[in-house]
Amino acid sequence: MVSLAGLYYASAKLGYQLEFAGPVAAILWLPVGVGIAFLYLGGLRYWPGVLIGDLFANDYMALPVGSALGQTCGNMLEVLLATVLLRRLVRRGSPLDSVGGVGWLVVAIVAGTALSASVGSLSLLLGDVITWHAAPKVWRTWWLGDSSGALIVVPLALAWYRPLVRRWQRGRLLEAVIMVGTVIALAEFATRSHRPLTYLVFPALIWAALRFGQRGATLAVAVTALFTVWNTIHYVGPFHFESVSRSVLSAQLFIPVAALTTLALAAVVSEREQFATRLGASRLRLVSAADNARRRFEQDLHDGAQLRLTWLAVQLRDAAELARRNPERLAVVLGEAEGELELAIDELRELARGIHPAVLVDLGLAEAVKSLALHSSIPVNVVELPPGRLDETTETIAYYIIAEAIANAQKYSRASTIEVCVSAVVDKLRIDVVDDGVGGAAERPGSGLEGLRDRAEAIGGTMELASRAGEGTRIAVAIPASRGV
Amino acid sequence: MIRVVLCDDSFLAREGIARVLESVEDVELVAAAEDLDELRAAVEREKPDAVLTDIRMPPTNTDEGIRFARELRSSHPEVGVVVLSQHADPSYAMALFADGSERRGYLLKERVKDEDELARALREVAAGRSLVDPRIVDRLVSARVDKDPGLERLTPRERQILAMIAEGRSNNAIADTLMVTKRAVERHINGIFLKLDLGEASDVNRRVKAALLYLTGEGEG
Repeated sequence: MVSLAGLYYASAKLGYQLEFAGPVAAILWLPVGVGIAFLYLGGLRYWPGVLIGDLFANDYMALPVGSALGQTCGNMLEVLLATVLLRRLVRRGSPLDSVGGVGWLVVAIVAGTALSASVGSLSLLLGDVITWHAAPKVWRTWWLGDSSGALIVVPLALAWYRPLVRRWQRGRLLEAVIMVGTVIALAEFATRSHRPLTYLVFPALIWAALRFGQRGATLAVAVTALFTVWNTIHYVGPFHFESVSRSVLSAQLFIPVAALTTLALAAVVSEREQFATRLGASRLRLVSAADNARRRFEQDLHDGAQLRLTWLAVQLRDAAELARRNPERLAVVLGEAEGELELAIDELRELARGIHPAVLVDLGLAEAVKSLALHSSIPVNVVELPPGRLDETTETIAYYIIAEAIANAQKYSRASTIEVCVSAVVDKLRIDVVDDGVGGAAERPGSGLEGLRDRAEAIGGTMELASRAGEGTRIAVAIPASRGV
Repeated sequence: MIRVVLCDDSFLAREGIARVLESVEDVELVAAAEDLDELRAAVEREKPDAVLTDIRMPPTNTDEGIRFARELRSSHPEVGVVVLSQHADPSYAMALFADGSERRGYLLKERVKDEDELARALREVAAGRSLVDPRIVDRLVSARVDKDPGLERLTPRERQILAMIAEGRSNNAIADTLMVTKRAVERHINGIFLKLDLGEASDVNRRVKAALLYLTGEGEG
């Protein structure tokens, strides 16, 4: 908490250094970003840190005490509101991981800072620091300054607070150094030159986002923002106009635009990387599932039919012996051998059915599902089946999904009935397998349910699992389908 | 004498079945075919009483046997067909009976070692009746006995008779097996059909399908 107060205070002091005029209108108000990032990552219980930091940071020489306290109040609420909103809006993962997350981040920040700008402007008005006439301009500057500050600091903190684990190769490190150097050079050049060349900084920003993801993007944006502000307050560059408020406004607009563009790009890169990782993992699982299945068949053959046939050979040799010595026993031994042979035939038939159900190819999905229902140890109630045939891929995948879902229910659910509903709607096949068992099923790594999702997603389908403890399990799958020929 | 055309793409199976049929007095094997085209030609040429065919054979190796049986229903309605199959799945028997169960039989392939079963199947279809391998029916009954409230209403004896109906046995055959009178069997069957709400019990051919449908879980409701 002390470190939060210290950080908040330090960034506020830095903010005052970057000010134009008076104690109110900062181009870039960084403390709000520090506060949001700290409370978001550390927890809301650190809020007194924000309060203490802000109380220390206030310029009591320039402001009436009432206005200063009002400002502090607004700043406090701003940080809390933005943090709570961000936590509510982005429930899973980092807001930077997806374009949607970046969008919600902007919403949270804009809402929080609007609150602070309103409370702050009002307390300045009531303290007679500003006039009614100047209020809208103060509000706007306040709002944009806080938003820009938050948009720089929060993503930077989110991207960098975890330690770097990946050890970079030398080439990669060199590229990172050159990239940062380029960002600095272009940002410096673009925001110092009086010609309108600000767009020059974008190739470097895009480079950072594409090649270095969230960390590169947030760092490059921060560097660019600092140069922009630095040059503008030193009265150079494209954002310097005769009028102070116009300078502030144009710099304030440039920073969020650059930040948002870069963050969105980094989020897209992030989304793609996550997708590639998941795809790779599911491919690996599919391959190993096939290997495991083969190993199981080998084992079944080895322990089953092969053993029986070996035993049969022994019995036949005994029979040959008996034919000479004890012809009366011969019939008994041969009868046993026949029984053994029938068992072997049965096992081979079941094994063949397990490898690939012939009924699926010969008679179609509907008959194959009925056959599954027949073999189930828990009664299966088949509610609906598609009339006619579907394309082969759909039928096969649908079959294995239903087989796996039923097998899963048999193993874990302790249900009294399983309900299967398969319906073809336009270009989709909907599969629902519902049981009335104990529920509480989850997609653990290596579980049948995960394999089920892999199968569905492999052909562009979706799977939903609802399995609250005590309420049974519902597996709902939709896969693309077309009519068979 | 029942004249039979045999079709199986495996040389071993053809030779084996031919040898089994040799020892059956009232069955004469008039031709053995290797694939669907040969079988079709042999039926045209020989006009047999019954066809004994493997379920899968070239060209597609799926369910040619069943499809050919369906073809014969319109081209040679007087020819009986026994389909030999490795599938213990009742769906195949139902597919064979899809356009009527008379003159159709469904046997598991391992049954060919048993000349009595094989000969009985050929006699049944040649005489216009139908039959299903007892093992399939056994499995159907045992698979459903714990799950189906309807089956639980039947007495053990009635369940036994329902299974025999599904196998395609006549009232006389059932009476002989159970060593009761034909009248008693008829009473039992009427009771079963009433309890399970399966309709008219007197039509022997239709009742095979009805019993089978019931056992596969499609006759309810």
